Amino acid sequence: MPPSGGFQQIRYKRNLPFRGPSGVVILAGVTAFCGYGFYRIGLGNLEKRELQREKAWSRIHLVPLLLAEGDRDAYRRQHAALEREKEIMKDVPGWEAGKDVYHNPRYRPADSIVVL
Amino acid sequence: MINNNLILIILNTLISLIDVLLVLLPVLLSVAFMTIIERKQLAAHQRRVGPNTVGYYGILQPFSDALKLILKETVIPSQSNKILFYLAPVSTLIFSLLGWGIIPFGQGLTLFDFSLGILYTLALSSLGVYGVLFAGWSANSKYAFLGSLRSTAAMISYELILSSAILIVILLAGSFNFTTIIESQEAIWFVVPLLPVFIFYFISILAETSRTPFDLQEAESELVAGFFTEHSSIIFVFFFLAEYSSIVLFSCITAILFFGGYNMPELFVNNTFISLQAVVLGLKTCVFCFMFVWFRATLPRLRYDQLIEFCWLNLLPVAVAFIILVPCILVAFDIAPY
Amino acid sequence: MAILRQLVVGVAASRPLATRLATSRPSILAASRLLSTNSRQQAQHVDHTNHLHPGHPKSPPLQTSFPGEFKDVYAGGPSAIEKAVHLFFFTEILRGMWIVLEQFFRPPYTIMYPFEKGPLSPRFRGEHALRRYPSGEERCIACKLCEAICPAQAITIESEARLDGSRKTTRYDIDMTKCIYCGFCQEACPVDAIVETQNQEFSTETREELLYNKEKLLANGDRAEAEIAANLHADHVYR
Repeated sequence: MPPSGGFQQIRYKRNLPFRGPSGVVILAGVTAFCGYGFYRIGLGNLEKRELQREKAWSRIHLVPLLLAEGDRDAYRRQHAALEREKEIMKDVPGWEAGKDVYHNPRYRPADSIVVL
Repeated sequence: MINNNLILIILNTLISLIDVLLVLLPVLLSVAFMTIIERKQLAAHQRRVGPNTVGYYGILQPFSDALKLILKETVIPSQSNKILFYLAPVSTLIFSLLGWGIIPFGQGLTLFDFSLGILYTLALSSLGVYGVLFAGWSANSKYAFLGSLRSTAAMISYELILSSAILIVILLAGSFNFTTIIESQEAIWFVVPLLPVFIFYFISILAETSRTPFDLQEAESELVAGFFTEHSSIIFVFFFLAEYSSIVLFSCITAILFFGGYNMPELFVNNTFISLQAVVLGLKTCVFCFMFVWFRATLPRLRYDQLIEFCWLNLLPVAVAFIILVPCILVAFDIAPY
Repeated sequence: MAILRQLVVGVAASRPLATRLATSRPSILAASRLLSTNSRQQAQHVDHTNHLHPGHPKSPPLQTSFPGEFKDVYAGGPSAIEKAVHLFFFTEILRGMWIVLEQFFRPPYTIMYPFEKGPLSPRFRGEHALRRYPSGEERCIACKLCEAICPAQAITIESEARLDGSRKTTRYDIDMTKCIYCGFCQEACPVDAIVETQNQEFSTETREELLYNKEKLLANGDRAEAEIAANLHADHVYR
């Protein structure tokens, strides 16, 4: 038998009692969290930029030295190649070792270097 | 001389093959175990036991499942386009496995340290849509076709959100390269500054791998299987593997993009035989695999129009807002990476 | 980069302009709010009149409408920030997920069936049995009430009088593949001869094994007599 006064209403409506921090607190918390994150990211990126700058400048300072070393090496190899050519072609009459194929007296660095 | 060169070439090829196998076999194993993990974890969430008969604690269940599926009869619809019908599962599986090629498992522990790695990943996830389309169209069945259309629409929509979220990560890291992104998280994990972005990023990968609450294309409790309705036996296994492979892959990518990848506190860095970095990445990946199943255990399925509307009307404006906000912060405080 | 940095500096330098803008802002804001509330109130006022059911009791009007007077229709509810935050950070979903995670760490409810069995009601209707009196005499008096009431017509009875004058069955068959386990036979029986036991695990490999005859039923009764008696005793107050 139903109780006197009938059954209670069925509570079908959404009932989610509010729990936890309020919206403003969550928003502030997340903002602070992200702010800290951006702060750390900023530090990291500045560090990264500094490393990049350092790398670039060390390159810049190194380049003349490396270039000079390369030139010196190329010059040495060119001379060695000339010597070899003289040695190989000494039996060919009329062969002028190291003669420019373009018939131009202007200096040109060698196109290719034979590494021996 | 020529002989030596030939031997060298063959050796190099062999070594590359072994490299690929070294990545692929554990990945496939992890994918297999992902299926049992999902079933066990879902069972635990629902206070059930889950498969527990095959092997200890049911750990060999995926192999028995695979064997069962392989032994089944392959049924091909007579009016189907046979080539595409077979191509679809194969291409889906290959595209989802190709993604593993550029994942750095540790410092220098990667098959290919691609400078445009993220673009490669996004391209592959876009190509994955083709497998879905092929499967739906070639089967010549309206259920498969409708399923593939829905899948495609959802995947294309959510790819937008996914790429937007990843774009923000790229802005912070200043590189498309996974290794560089991981290294720039040595300052702090990107999830800390990008917590809101991570929220919609994770939503979009849930949709991208068509997992609950966005799995209405498959909806195994209500519909037939969706775009692979007509696929059976071994070609169905391919789809199955592709799906779980993309879950594990996206978990891994999440760990890399937002949770520092293989980074760990310097206290533990060492040079032992075992790469602890790979273990750390694996653990982080496991956490996100757990999240995938956790979401599945919690959330009901969205309706299709809700799915699309949620993407275009709710997520996209938020994503665009963050795409504008983050560079603004970077420029305003002069902390851009370059 | 450098250009951008200069831009930022330039914006900072032009702050006087910004402050001037800010000072003139409140009046603009107030004007716009007035406009928006005005139109909203009018729209709701028109909405509120109930054209379809004039006799229907009207809910009290939401607000007294004086055009131009500001009334916050959202007063008393959660603030906009509150709603936005709970929407964006999915706090409700997180609460749901927390509950699901709590379940994850609790032991399962599963009964490992073939090894563990759940409790059965004394009224459980399983495999049939024919009972005997303690003297060993079978209870069945071949009244055929069970045969008559059986809705699936699964019971077949043939009988004849014995030498001592009592009527006993010569044949008592139950087709267990027809039986729907409704328990009517058990209720119809005046001497509690045919009963349904709690045994539910009597699957067989062939169909013929499920066509029970009198011997099988009596054997069932002999096997489970104690159980049947206990169940009948447990239930007798309700009969």
